[in-house]
Amino acid sequence: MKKSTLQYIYFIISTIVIMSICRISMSYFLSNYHYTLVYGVAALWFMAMYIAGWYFGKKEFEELPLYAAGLKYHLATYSIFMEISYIWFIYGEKSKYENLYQVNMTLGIWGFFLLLHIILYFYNKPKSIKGLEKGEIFE
Amino acid sequence: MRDEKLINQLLEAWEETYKKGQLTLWILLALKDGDKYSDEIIQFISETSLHTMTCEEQSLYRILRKFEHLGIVSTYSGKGNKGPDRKYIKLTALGITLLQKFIDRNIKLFSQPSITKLYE
Repeated sequence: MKKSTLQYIYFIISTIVIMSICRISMSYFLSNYHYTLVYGVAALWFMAMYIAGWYFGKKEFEELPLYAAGLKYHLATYSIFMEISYIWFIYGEKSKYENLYQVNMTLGIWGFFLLLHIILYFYNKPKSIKGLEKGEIFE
Repeated sequence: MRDEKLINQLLEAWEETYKKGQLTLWILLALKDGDKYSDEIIQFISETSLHTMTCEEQSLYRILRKFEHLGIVSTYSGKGNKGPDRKYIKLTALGITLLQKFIDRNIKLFSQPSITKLYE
């Protein structure tokens, strides 16, 4: 298996672990009225995801500088967030202060920015050959 | 004396810029000479360029990964001079055509008599 593919798999595993922990702890803190900790978890979740994306993305880019890598990571993060959120709401022990509307709202707003990212990807596609930026190919 | 120092400084600056885009050409020339593993490519570049060009191992691997992704080169395992099997790199048909067209368009023009007479 290519090293770049391995980095992507590691990122997906990290994302599933980070999101599961954050999802469960957020519902737990909400149920127990620790509202400040909910914000703390949200901030930690953001930072952990940023670091995971930066670390594995950088390693993958060093291996092969595919310009689509950013979008691939963004899509994976969005999909995992959606799946874990729905699974938790349907089968998990969500707090009584949470409802699906909030998840759908988050996915809607985030989805808008994801759509912008996809548009940007297609806008830049002609400037690349097989996913590599023309200026990055020859040295 | 002052002029000589200036010329040397200018030459160094010019050559630095001039060599920046040459690594691809040297790597592909090394592979046109025959299938090679990474150390052999580095050695070929150094010797054939009369040590005016050098290629770091990491840079070479990075470039070769991109070329393999683009289908310019391909790799296979083969026997080394000694020790375990080595990963050999070869030019694909696409790589051969690309190099030939690049040479025709950009290198051969320096061999024209109207240009070569200006070398002296």
